[in-house]
Amino acid sequence: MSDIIIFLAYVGLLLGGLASPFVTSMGYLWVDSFYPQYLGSAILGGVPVAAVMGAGAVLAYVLMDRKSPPRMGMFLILSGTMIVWMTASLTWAVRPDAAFAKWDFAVKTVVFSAFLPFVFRSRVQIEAMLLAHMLGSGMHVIGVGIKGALTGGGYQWRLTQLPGDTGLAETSAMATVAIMFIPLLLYMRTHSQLVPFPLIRKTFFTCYALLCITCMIATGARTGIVCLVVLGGLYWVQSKQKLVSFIAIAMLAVLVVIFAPDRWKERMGSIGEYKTDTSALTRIKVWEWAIGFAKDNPMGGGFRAYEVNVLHMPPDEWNPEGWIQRGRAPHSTWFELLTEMGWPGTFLFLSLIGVTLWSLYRVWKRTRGVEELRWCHDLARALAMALVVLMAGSTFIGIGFKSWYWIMFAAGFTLSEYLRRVTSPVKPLPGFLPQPPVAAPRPALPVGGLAVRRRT
Amino acid sequence: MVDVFALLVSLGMLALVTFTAIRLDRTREWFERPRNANPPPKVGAGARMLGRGPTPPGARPPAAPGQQRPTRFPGGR
Repeated sequence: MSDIIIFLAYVGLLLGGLASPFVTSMGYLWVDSFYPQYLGSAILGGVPVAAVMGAGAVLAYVLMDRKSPPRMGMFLILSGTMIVWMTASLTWAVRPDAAFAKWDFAVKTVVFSAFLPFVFRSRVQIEAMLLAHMLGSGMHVIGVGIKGALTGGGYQWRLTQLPGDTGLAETSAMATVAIMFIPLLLYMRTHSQLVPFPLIRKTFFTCYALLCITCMIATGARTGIVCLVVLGGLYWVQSKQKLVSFIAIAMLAVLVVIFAPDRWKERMGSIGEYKTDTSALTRIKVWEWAIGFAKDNPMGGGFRAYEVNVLHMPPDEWNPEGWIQRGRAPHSTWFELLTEMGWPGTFLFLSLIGVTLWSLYRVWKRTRGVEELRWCHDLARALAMALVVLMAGSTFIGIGFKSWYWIMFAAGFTLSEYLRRVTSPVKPLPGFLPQPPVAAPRPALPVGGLAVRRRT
Repeated sequence: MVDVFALLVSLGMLALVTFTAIRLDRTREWFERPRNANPPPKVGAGARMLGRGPTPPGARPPAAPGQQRPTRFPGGR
């Protein structure tokens, strides 16, 4: 039964592009986070769902929706440069076959993120983009969140229906993404136009945000607590009443500690035992290796260069003479970039983060006090907070070429382009062309209070 | 059971969001411009418009709402 429902959702999003072309791009974002090929495998198991939806999205845009493309901003330039660099790195990859396998999905992620600002331009479309991504992930985050609330979860428990470490099946990635969603969900709770019923909107997004916390606890990943502390710090920095907000955050932390299961507290208590904890110690060892590798290979070793590493681990209770670990992944976005893309690729990625944060700051600053653009102001803040949380979490998990970063980059650029379009004065057409009529007073919208012109 | 519930909730909300997005996208102009993207000028020193610096002393103040130049939508429609 669930296979049929998932199939219908997939087909609905694919064909929804005929009604509004951006819906097929929504479908791609949904497929990218939901993984219908695994959850609806009885029908969609053998279908290249992402390729079909991606092709549909590009076709819908090219045939039906080429209007007002974005400027060639820094996001597009840096993304294009990154695509070239990723492709060039295949020529000096130390593991060519493995490198090509990772390049295949990484380049699709970057290309599609560069495509997003062409498709999503209006307020409705920007919200739809973010909600398609969050509701696709919602299948996993909500499910794990409920399980966490009922059972408490546990480290390395199998909580999702996804195989292996696919997408959100990896616990640290799940915890990071769940906490990253919280500012965006609270934004949607206040501003979303796409859930028009206030009771449903407030209830759903509040519950989803709370389930993000229980989801983080259920994974047992220590990365999650780091993200939660960073998010709490960001809210505290922005609050006007520092003492009150500090007390509120402290009370929330106490509640989390009281209601969290004992095994989660034990797991979090092991953060300080990094010298004896195998997981943490292996990370430190592989990070040391990554720094040495980057010194010897400043241009990087291509995708999955970490497969050549050999780590000499210290003795433990099972291996009194020490042991050797080979091909260990860096488990950190920064060291992943350093080993795979070298210093130039790392610089490009950091530049993308810097450009996105800067553009969001500019949107936040320019829309301060403008009531009609308050949603831009709040969305810029929420996106910046989500990006900073993602950066904190990705210090402990290699997700530089997963879609989460790239959707944040695209969303930041899309929002800044929206603001540019609505605030730039419109140039008159050349004299020999018929001039558009003077805009008549426009009726106010029932939602959002924005003025519109109807289609003619 | 929990997974089925999560599936129904997430797909139900996705259906609502998609339907509303299509409806709003079709009933509105594809790209809405706020009635007053440029905030009304403040009186006196420090008066400014969105995207511009402060109005220099003695300069002509920004146009009042309703007296703006004719607008057209980006894309040349």
